[in-house]
Amino acid sequence: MKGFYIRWGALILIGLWIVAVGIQRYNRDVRPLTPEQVLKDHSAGSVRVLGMVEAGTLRKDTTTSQMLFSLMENGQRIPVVYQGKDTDDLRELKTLVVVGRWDNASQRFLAEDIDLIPNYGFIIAAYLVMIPLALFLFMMERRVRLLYNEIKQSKLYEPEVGEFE
Amino acid sequence: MIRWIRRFEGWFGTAGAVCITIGLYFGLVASPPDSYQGEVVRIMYVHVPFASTSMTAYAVLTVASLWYLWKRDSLVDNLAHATAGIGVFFTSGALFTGSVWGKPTWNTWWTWDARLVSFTILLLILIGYLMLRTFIEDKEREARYAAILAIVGAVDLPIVHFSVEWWRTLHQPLSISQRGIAIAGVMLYPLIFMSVGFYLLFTYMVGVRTQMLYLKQLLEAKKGRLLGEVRL
Repeated sequence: MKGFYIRWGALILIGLWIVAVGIQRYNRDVRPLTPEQVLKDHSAGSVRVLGMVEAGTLRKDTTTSQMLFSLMENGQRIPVVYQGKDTDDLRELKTLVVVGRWDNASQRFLAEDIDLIPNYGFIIAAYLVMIPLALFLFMMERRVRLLYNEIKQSKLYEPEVGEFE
Repeated sequence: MIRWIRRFEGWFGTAGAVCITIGLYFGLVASPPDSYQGEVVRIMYVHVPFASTSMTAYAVLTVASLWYLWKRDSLVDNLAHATAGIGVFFTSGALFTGSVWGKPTWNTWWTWDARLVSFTILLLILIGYLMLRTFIEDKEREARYAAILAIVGAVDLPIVHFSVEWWRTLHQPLSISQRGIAIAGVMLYPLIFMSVGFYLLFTYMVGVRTQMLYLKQLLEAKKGRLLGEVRL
């Protein structure tokens, strides 16, 4: 049984390590910021910002072919200049993620890409099914080992007390 | 057969774990989001393997039940019983992940769609199979009735598979069929790794559970509860 618990312990440690790396990567590269966070902390690198395209603000600059709009979330808004390829996802009142960086000189967010709402909660919920699956497997394997031990120990046929009285 | 299972089950488990790990990496990290669904398409890499494995589980259950009725081998009955138990788990997993996928894409957790209903019936048949096995005292009768129920219930299997072809459903049609493969290569590879991994994991789990049921019977026989059957 010792080897069995060591093996499962190692598997749990590997699983926890994968989860920790995943959370770290999510916080660093994937988690979207709010417009408020962008206005507070002008990070130099590329960031993802989640918000809704404010009604009446979406327009196309005919000279530069850039799309200009205001991205809003919880009452805070940032002006966005989108210079990526044309997409059907860019519509007024649509909640989406813009990928780009804040430009201090023009006081605008320069977006290079647009993504749909990530819905990571649903993805995590779906993959959490792996946990009961692993638990079910653990319980079965443990039971098999206990049964083998029990059978080895009960070498002789021993009817239960009072069974044939 | 038990010796064979004991000898090879570890290989199936290890290979399954490796395939699933590779599949998870490609599915969650390397593959791109879908242009229509966005990131939620990643649920596909766990939902489709759950669904295909549960259908395979029922097919195995049907074959094992037929085999049992023909040969009356109690070990084959253990195999069928084990497959049904694991099948319930995979079928529930497929319905759960499908429901979680349905909310952001269809805007509903559940709909009375032909695929969803026929799949739920498959789960109910499996639960009924396991319940039947707990109600009957006589082991031989229990195995026989359960095998008959499993064979009759197998009529649902083609209905589940072709429901998206026979009826107008909200569920998407078959992505891999005789018409070709309607899925991008970059999304197909993680799906293949995850599916193969789930099949191997299923084989491993059936091996472990078959041993468990066999050992329980053996122990019961040793303790004298099945004295008539072991003919001491």
